[in-house]
Amino acid sequence: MIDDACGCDDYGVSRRSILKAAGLAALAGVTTSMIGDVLTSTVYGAGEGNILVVLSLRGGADGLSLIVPHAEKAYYAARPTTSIAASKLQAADATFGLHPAFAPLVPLWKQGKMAGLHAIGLPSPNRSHFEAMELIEDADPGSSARIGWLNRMISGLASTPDVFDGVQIGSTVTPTSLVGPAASLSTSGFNDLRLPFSDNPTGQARIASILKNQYAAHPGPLGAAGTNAIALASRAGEIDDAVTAGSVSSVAYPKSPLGKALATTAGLIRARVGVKAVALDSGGWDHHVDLGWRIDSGIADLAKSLAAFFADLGPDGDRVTVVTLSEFGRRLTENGARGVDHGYGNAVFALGAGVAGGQYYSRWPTLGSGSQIDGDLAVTTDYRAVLMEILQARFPSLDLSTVFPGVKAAPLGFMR
Amino acid sequence: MSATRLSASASPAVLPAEHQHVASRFTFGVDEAVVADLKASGGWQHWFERQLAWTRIPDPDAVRTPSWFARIEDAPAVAWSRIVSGETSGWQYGNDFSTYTMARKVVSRRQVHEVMTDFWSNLLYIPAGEDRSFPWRFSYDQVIRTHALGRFRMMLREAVVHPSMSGWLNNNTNTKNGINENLGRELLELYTVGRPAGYDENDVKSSARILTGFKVDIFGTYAASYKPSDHYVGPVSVMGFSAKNADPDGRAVVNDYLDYLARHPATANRIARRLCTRFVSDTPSDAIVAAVAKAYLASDTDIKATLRALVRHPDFIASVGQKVRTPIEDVINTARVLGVAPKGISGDRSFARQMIWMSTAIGQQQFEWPRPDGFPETSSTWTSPARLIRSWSFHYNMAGNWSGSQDVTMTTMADQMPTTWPLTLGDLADHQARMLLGRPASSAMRKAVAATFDAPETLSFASAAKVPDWAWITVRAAILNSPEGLLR
Repeated sequence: MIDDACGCDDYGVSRRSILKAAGLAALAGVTTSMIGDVLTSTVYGAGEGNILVVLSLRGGADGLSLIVPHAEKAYYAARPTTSIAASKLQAADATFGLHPAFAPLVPLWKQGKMAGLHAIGLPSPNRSHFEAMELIEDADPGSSARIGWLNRMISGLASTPDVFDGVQIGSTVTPTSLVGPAASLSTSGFNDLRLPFSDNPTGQARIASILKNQYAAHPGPLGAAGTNAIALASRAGEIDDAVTAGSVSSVAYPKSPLGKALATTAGLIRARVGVKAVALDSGGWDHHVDLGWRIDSGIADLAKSLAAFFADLGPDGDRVTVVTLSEFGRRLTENGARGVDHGYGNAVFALGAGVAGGQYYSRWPTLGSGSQIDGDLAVTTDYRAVLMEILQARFPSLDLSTVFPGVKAAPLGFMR
Repeated sequence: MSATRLSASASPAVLPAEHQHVASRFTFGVDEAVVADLKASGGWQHWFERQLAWTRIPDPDAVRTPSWFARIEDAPAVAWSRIVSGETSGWQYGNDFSTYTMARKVVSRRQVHEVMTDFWSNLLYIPAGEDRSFPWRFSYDQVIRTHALGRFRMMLREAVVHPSMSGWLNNNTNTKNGINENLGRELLELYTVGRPAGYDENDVKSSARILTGFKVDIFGTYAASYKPSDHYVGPVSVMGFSAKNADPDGRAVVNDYLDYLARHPATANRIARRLCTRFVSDTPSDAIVAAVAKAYLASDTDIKATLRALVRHPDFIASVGQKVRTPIEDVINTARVLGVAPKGISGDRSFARQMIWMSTAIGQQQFEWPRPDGFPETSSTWTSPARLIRSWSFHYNMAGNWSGSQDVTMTTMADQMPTTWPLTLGDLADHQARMLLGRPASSAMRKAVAATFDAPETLSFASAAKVPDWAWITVRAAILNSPEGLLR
């Protein structure tokens, strides 16, 4: 018999759902420290807190197609084959309108749960995919330490962050935003995170104990990862059960990678393991060619997936705020292949808890030739100011100066 | 298996630590054949030289692997016609190509060449099965293979203007009347000088203009051509390279430009750092990067000379234990050291096909990285708790052949075992550590194996027949699952 059936001593909090699943009686005989941890986490109600979902539109989404500045003649002049007529836009006001493929999200918009922000981006242009993504996700240009802003966020919310505080869903590669000293998890799902011999609890416990000892004695990141793996595996089964149990309503997600990742995210939230930040990727926004039909299908997938996500969450949606980010916008002028090359200022969406939605927010620079930056939409709001506004509203205990050091910016007012 | 097999001894001889290190870093798995080659070559430097002279190594099994796939060598027009007729899909072409790539890594005797093909394929990265590039993807692979141990300058010349690259990064739509910057930018950022070199947006525009004129009939015949009337004519300037570019046929300017970039000190530094990140550690010293970059420039981008400088630097030999295998490397290595090799394709249970989903299940799929920058070369990327759990399960799966692999060569249990008995559990742990990891078992490994059986290390087996197959599987998986089993 191993001395610590849970193996969780590196993750001191939020075992509430496991406690619920296992039943208190099953814990008899387990070490007192674990009981103590569980009681602590129950007191703090770790599973009922607010959650931030950061959805990265990888490739540099064309903000001028997401939120079309239909009052600008310059937009139509620069895009003879790829502009969208004002009459086709959804939820339009005098300046802006949503791309027609956002139709599935218009009900949320009308309920005031979705806001559109424009002319957002990095403080200075960077048209490299990889460098711009690194900058956006590291978000601390004054420091050479490779620590992402989501890692700083979860570090700021708990003295000993839990492996489930920050989770990347849909990819097994950790994004820059989550890299750092606080343990985090990157996975496509939870069904493959159990140790071998899941049908043989004695054998499985023995293997857990052996691996734990071997990796604990191994120096460096590999040893640490092995130790964390044992703790993760001991809890993966219960989470997988919650994920696969599905929602009470019959919600149909698109069968796309984003649809699957959001379905898994909803399950993780239902499992109430205390997740605070979820990072998700939506790929394929690098539209150098045939912007028209390609972005139409990309937005349709995005809109259907997010509509299904909030329907699936039900009352839990009151705890969840989604923000979309992309490394840069695209050039104003279309290229020779009915596409758009890498640009600068971009559109951002905020959805869900705390959002004062149903309208657009922007210090709009206009598209006049004197306002452009090297042929692109200018940036008038630092993307970090947008994130700070959300964190301020949803995680008020957080010291924002540690998450985004040195940033001072006026809020746009899109959070309640 | 011959009577002189290494595993016949109760205590199989292991290579000297330096030999094991070089072979572990520059092969996809130190199997018995690699051990024999190293022993026969009289020093790892000699072995390395023989591997660099890859065309002289007979490799019939690897050369035959394309013939396992009915369509992999289809001409581009034929491939697309099969898509139009609904006979097959671009995804299937991609899956065949990835399967072929994995299989070849297992069976090839030219291991250093395979490793370097993988390295350059990841730098000059094109995914498999992508619509605009897949009909030419196998042809592109031939370019990388041809130059993988040749001159980077020549590889760059052929790769950048290859029709597969034109499709992938949209250069086929880049014309003087409508510039598409995609390839022109990635050429600078990813394939050569890198962002720290400090080029600006005007450099990017010139870079794209130089590359105008290359055409591919995407979604048609996929025929590749050069169209002077689409080529931008007029002065161009990129980071100190300039040309009048007055000829409508700009291909000579393209070659001059690519040579200039290949020979640029910033390119030397970028490639040297990436090589050191793959073969030395995630954080190589400036000293070894500078030494490798110097050899690259002094040899006019000769890859053999560059690699010699890397392996001869003291930091290389001192870097034992600094790299963790990627999921793909884990799958290939596990197959090789367990003596499991694909030998053809008859269906979904063919081992070659299973290798694709095995590595995917651990967290990495061959040629499925979604962006032009290739898989990260850093081990830290692949050292997550979730990845370790999946690798641990995979090692049991492979040791036990729980996937019921077909079209595969496997060493029988009798041929894996020593011939001298009785032996204790501790002896068996040591035997398998030597066979699978190329080192004696540490006391932690002996303890781990014994604990797996809930038995003392001194538990004795009178003969091979007294070792149940499940026990043998467990010993082998426990050795592969030790931290040392994940290190390259």
